[in-house]
Amino acid sequence: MSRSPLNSVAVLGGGVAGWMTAAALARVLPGACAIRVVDTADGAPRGALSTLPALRGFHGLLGLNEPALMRAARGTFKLGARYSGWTDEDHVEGFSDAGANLDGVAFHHHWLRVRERGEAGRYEDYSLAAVAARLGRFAPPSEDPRSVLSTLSYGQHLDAAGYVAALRATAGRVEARSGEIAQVALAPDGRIAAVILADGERIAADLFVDTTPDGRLIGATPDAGWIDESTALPCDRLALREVAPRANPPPLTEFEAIAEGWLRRVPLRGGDAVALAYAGNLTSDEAAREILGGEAAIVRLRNGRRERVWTGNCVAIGPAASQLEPLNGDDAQSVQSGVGRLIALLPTADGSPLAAMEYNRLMAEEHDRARDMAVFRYVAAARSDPLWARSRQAAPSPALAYKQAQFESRGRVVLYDEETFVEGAWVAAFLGHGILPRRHDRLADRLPADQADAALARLRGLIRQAAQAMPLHADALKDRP
Amino acid sequence: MTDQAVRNILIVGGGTAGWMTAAALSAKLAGLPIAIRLVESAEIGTVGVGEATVPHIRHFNAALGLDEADFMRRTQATYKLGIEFRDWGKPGDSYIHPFGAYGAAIAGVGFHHHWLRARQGGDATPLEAYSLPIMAARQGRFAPPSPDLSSVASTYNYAYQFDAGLYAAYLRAYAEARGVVRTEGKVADVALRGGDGFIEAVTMESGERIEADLFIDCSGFRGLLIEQALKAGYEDWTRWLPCDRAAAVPCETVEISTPYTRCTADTAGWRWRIPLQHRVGNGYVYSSAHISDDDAAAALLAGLEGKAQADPRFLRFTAGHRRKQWSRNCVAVGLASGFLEPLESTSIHLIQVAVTTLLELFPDRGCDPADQDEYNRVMNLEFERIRDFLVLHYHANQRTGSPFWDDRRNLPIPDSLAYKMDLFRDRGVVVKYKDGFFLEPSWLAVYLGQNVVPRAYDPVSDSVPDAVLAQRLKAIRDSVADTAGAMPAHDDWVARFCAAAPVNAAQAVRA
Repeated sequence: MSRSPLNSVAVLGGGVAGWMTAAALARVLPGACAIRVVDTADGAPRGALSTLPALRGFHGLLGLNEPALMRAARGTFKLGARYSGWTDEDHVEGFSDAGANLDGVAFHHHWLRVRERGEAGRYEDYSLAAVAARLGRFAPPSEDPRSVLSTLSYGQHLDAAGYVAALRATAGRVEARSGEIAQVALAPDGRIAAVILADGERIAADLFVDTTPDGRLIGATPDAGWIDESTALPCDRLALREVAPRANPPPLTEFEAIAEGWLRRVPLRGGDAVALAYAGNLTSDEAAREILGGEAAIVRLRNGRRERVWTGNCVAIGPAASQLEPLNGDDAQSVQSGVGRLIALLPTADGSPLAAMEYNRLMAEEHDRARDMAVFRYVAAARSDPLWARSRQAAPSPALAYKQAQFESRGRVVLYDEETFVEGAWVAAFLGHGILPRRHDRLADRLPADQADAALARLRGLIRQAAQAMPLHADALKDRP
Repeated sequence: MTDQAVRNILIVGGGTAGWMTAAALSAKLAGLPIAIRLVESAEIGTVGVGEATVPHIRHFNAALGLDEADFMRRTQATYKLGIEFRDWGKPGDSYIHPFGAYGAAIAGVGFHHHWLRARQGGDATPLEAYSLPIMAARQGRFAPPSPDLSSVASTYNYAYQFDAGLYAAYLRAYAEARGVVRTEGKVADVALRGGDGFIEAVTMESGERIEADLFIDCSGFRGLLIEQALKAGYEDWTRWLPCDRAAAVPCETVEISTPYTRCTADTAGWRWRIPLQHRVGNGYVYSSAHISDDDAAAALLAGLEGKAQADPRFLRFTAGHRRKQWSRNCVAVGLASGFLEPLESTSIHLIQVAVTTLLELFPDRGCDPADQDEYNRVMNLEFERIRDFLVLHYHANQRTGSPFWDDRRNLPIPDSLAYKMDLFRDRGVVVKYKDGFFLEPSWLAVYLGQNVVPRAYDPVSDSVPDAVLAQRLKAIRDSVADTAGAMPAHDDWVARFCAAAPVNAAQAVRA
């Protein structure tokens, strides 16, 4: 009744996707299953990662010690992301929900109501993470639910190369080598029979994981169509460079929209990793380097996803599976869930087409919902430069159009299956980018207006006070080396 | 903006749906200048089929601030730990769909995979030995769950079995105390406004004309407002759920009042048994194409454990839902919005979801089409997901040689269900969605209870050595058995905590 278990897994590509995959599989798969990684030159990690708090859960499963990881990857803390240049005002989306439910009604309805009557401040003024981040301050969340510090959550900024080194160190039993892919040999049924490397070595495995940047393996299989999303997301290049650190970098990833695209700044220990996303046919690489102020590595980007990220005995994880302009601050999220779902639907040696079908459904949903968040930022941008105007020629997905219409109507956040971003994140993004509902929840009116005014004013003061009492980010990093 | 605010609401129809709606609106809209009226006629009987509930009802009651013991006394309620399904897989089979999980994940892998692995290795222990609510239910025991999340005694939830008529009366008192105005009488006419076709007013047989900004149709199957006046249309699911009638009859209690509802498969449908404090509710849900009313009633009466307290009452229905459960300024709640047979006790749950969603999307007088769209999306999804779960019960049967059951097994099922079943059969994967009422333990209960067994288990289970697994399984089993055995008898707990006053014969016959 039981089927033949996997005896061997080969991960081709390496890099962040390859090593996250290998490290997780090494934890979970029985010792009898061999795991090999082939690091290809173009898979080498570059630049920095701006991650969500959920990635720390993944590290927990790997037994990756946080201080050690932060040291190895020049890590800094991340309380959220700041967006400037997108609309008239900049805003911060913090990793703590704003405010609190009052009288059973979501906070943003109270904020809208108080705002209609007078002074309510910015929505982010009610998010401790956002306020602290703007002040350049950081503290870990409190375990005491009565403390306002318990609303905090944090992600990390990691140097990609250092992160891979840390992952390698936890993946003890994984056998690794460098090599270049010369040929992908297919069996008559379309499955991968072997990958032949440039030096002639033939890699055979029950399961191949494609973590190459361009999908060399999955692209060779018959079933690997690519859904292109480059109209709504127009940037097809990233220029990467590192600049001198700031004395006290805010625990934030900063995204600044400019005429040519957008700039991202990620603070690392010892320097800031900056990136420019732009469109190659509107801005030359040279012009991109000029904007960044010096030499920069150029990386190609292809917004979209595979129709099927798992076909036959080949699973694509990371850029081979899907690519998005990294403007949500959710780097490594699709890898984390790609690996997690692979483990949950682990195939047998003879293949599991039904598991693959379910995997493809889940990964497609997840990508599409994260893509909607990225597309939304373009839709909401108040810019008319050629690149920005071009992005608006694409109609948003029906799912995004509905979600935005629902929020505009009455502040309702529609959540679909496999959303990376939950209600609070969408509210912060909508309101931050200037989308205001036409009306607030009538049930908010149960609270007498003067009480609502006073409650919000008090909350704002409390949060500001708590943020000001937190250590500077630079000091927090020194204290937790 | 404020001049567009809803000022008054008219609920048409009482019953469980009408009074649950009135109670929830009066509680949640308190403090706002909104008048709530309800019209109902004592001449029109209520259906009250949904006497068994699911655990979400506890949230509803808690949101109203109801005192549990008082509510149980006043509604002749008993506790419910799950539903027993008899004869659904093969004749003679019995399984309980519990309100709680089986075992606990081991090495990050769902418990049922380890159970499947042990089973393939020759361990014949049934899955239910790892479920505390099932073990307690089988022994007729009950105690409320422990708040200590590390204890096995916290691994379940519970619902109630109550007299829906008494529940409606209880909520009526609650709603009237909070300002809901009740008017006795029948609706004679519904007037639509020119232009947008919104409902303007209803005219009562007394001649009184009642206007409102928002109408809630709780008039039952006929859908007086939503269908007769607004022609919302009906999505008919008879092809998947062909039962279209029910016969219902209460009887005297003979056995102990079990802390679970029982659904027994029968020739052309299934029979329910719902034990309350003062009586047992019974019914037969059947397909009129496969059995006559007389034969159904005879089968129902023949299966009673005690003396019938009335003649069987007959109900007719069509499985499905209104295409628009919210249309213009009218929201349908309860049977007016659609019908799914109460095989999984979802009737009252659907009322609860409707009222909760309405409050989440509470409109202004314009009834923004965006609000209607979202309400209909949420409710349609809720109906569809429950539908698939119900169809699974019918489809996964091995009752060969009976025309009704052979059809259920052989005729096509919804694609969405076929997909879920394929995944489960392949390797025990329970497909999950964000929305939808039934979660993994529910699907496991029915799949495995009706002999839908995966061909393989999750291979990651093999990372746990055999001896370690055997030890863990035994530890869970023992702790479940010990905890269940230490619970008080359900009847004793009811007597101690919430015993209702005895009912006189006249009241007991109340249909």
